[in-house]
Amino acid sequence: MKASQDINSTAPASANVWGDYPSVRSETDRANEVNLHAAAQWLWRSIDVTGVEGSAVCFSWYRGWMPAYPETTGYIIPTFYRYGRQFSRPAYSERATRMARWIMTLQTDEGALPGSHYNEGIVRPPSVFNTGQMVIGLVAAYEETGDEAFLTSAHRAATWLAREQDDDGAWTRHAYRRGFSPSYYTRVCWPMLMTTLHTSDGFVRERAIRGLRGIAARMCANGVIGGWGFADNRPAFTHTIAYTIRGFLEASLLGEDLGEFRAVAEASAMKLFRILEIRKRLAGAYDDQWRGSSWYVCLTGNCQLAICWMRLFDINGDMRLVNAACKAIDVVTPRQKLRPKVMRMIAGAIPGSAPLCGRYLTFRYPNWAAKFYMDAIMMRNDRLSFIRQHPGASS
Amino acid sequence: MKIAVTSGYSKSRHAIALIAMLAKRGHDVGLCLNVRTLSVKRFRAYYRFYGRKLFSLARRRMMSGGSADALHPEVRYMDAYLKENGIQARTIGAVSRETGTRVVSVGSLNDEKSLAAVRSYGPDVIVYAGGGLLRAPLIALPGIGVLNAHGGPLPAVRGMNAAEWALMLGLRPGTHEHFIDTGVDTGPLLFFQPLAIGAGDVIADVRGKATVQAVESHLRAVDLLAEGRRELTAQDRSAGQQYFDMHPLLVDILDDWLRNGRLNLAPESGSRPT
Repeated sequence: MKASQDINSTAPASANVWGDYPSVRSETDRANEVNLHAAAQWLWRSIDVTGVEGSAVCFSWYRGWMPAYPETTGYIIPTFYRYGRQFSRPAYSERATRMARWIMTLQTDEGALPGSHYNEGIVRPPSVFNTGQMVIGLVAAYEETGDEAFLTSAHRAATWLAREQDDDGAWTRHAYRRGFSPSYYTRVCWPMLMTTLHTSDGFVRERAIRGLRGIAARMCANGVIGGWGFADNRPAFTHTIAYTIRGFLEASLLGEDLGEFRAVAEASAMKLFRILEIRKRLAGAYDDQWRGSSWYVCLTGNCQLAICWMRLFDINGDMRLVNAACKAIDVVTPRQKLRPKVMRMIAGAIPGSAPLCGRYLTFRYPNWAAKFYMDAIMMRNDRLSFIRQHPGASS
Repeated sequence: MKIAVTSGYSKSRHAIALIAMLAKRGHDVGLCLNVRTLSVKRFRAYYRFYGRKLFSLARRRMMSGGSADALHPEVRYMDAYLKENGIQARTIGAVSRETGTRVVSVGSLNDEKSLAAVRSYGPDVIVYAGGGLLRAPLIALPGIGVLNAHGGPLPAVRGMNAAEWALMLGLRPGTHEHFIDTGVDTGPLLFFQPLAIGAGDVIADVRGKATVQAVESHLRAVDLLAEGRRELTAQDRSAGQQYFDMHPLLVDILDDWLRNGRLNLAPESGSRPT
């Protein structure tokens, strides 16, 4: 089983009530492929402009292209592998491998990977979350190429993460905000578990599970998971909410003894599903009473939640979730300019917020928005294609 | 038996047919609650639903002669039904004049004006033919209850686009006549009438047929109630799931299945095991 199966390949039979997804598609199941290719090309350009094999963190209206961002370069790797394979564009797969090799050059002797942006000659301090995201790319590169160097690097990073963890399962060092261990660190535990599928490292596995249990304990009765924003006691963007849910969900699929985390993910994901369906849209951020900041949409959050719902569909076959995913993606697609009249470098990019002045990455086009948009389109089209070929399957 | 009918807008063919046919069968339809189309609240709800597409839809509607229904091919079934039954009226006002029904124009079925009209008329039954969600105060007013013709098998498929979701789940769509309670399609059931789907039908045909069948189902239910026959089956409120409007990409899949005869529907009585 591939640990990075969700974004790197079709879902494994063990985690998917449907089995494998088909490769033959109808015209409708290829919806938004023009948008998908445009996003892929924009991401490609975002790497070209940095001068290294890392993707620029974003394009900003007022600062232009920003430096390479190792963290998100890490999780763009499986997206490129999948895209390259699915559309017979080997250049994307080859580039993904080069990106993984570049990440390895950033690794410290202790195994840590750096936070923040990449600037030639500047040594950035290590970061727990960023290390986790780069592990996703390293594991994908190992699974794709079979090159043990990637696995060794991923394992060293995971071991560093395990060692840096506090006894209660939190990480208070090397954090985005000093002393604050956010709940979206589920997305650190998940990559740690990914590595253990190949290394069987009991220490890393035990620490990852400890981390997940600590975060699961923050679950409130209303489906909110405390601390899932960038700061405590402030509304959380759907981006970090989806990070948290996804971490639980994917972790729960990586071992029979990890099923306890699925219920946690499901409670929050289903709450957001109902909000989307009843209110017809998602807010950009939610507080701990589900009061939304509705004047803007966090577009990457929409794509990430669509992905979470589709992964839940893989498990429970509930087609309402694919339906909701389609609607969440529909909010994002019109925000992508395919042929902008000004600033042609944003062709294919996905903004942080809609409207652009929204609170999440105001007037910026982050690389992870394009990445999650690509993942969402590819996953959605796979699932639509499967449903089409299995009439009435869920009854 | 005193009957009130709801209507979602003043040209609702569904409500027009219902009022005309109930009157034809000798029922006393004394009140119609007609929800005004133009209201800030409704505009907001539509805008939230359609976004900026709302303006192009409005433009198309104006170009089509002011009827939203003209945009939907499924209305030909209702048009044929009206013609077949000699119903000439095309507005709630016109049909109400013919049947002697009092029309009360309301902003919402749950607002004070609506409640006052119902209290003053004192219907035994309200027949729901559109107009939005009903709240507890209105549901509690009629002597017998509020009838709804739900488009899918209950309790399996609650909520919106029930015929489409039934097909998606491999269940035979049909009309489940039931009383409305405060839940979403959770009230006691009267009967289920399966929908006949012909070869070559697409979703527009299913929707068109379902609308006609909803009128027929309401007529049958009112006849039964008038005869004093009220055999009800309670629903298990925890069974089934609530569905929401179906995305066009999934509707396209249904059309594909229907066109190519790929649906193998469950037995007609068919509530899905839960």
